Amino acid sequence: MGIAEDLLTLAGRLADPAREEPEQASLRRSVSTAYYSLFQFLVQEAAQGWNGTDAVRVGLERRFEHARMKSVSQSVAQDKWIGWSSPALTVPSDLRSVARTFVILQEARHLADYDNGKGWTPIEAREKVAEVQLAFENWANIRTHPAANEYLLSLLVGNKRE
Amino acid sequence: MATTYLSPQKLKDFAQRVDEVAKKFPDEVVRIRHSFTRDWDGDPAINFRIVLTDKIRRNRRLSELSDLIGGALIKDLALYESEYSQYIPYFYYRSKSEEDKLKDSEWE
Repeated sequence: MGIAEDLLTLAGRLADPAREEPEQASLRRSVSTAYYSLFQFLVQEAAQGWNGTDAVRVGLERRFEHARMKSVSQSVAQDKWIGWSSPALTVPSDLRSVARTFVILQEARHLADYDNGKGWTPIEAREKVAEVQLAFENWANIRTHPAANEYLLSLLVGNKRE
Repeated sequence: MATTYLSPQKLKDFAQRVDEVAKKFPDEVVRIRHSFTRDWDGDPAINFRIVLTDKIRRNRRLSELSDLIGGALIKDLALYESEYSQYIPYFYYRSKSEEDKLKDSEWE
């Protein structure tokens, strides 16, 4: 099992804290960990296409930026994304769903990590974990689709200039 | 703080359509509240706060349900196609029993 799947397992446990555990801290870590699970998942998927050395692969993985990934994912979710193929590829609904989940989870992660005024409930946290689980499943349906490949490239380099 | 240039009538219509989506899920949704705001990055956003009935407990069902409700809000309100497309929609879910304890005004 990869780090992304391990992180999601951990996020699920944190969303259901034992009575003696600090609830808010656990729920916040759950939401944050669920986001990083999806982040790592997509970065790994993108880096798998790299045939160079491990050291260069690490360098490649470090080039992924959260803000750029949000911008690209929002374009995909809204069906406004332009890939590199001509004619443009049709974006499968499962890919739009993955992209939407990325945007939603990134915002949730910001709130979980930085907004102390927001309280979290177990259902809120479990729902975010469940969204990431569904994103993994949706990705499995479309991971060989050319649009998925171009989406991964966009996550690294940003939206294509018109 | 509300952040939108939309007219009061537009906001009223929007709220009505949100209620109509909630009514599509009588066994699952108690109510849906929303607010126009900005997200953590400062981008225009709409936060939807969905109170679920207490029947919803297991993660698997939760993911399917949130996908369904979020999808209905996006489709019925044309969130990605209309003037609302400049707002990023975000969805948060709580159960009724959770919210009954918290009495969070934004969710009531």
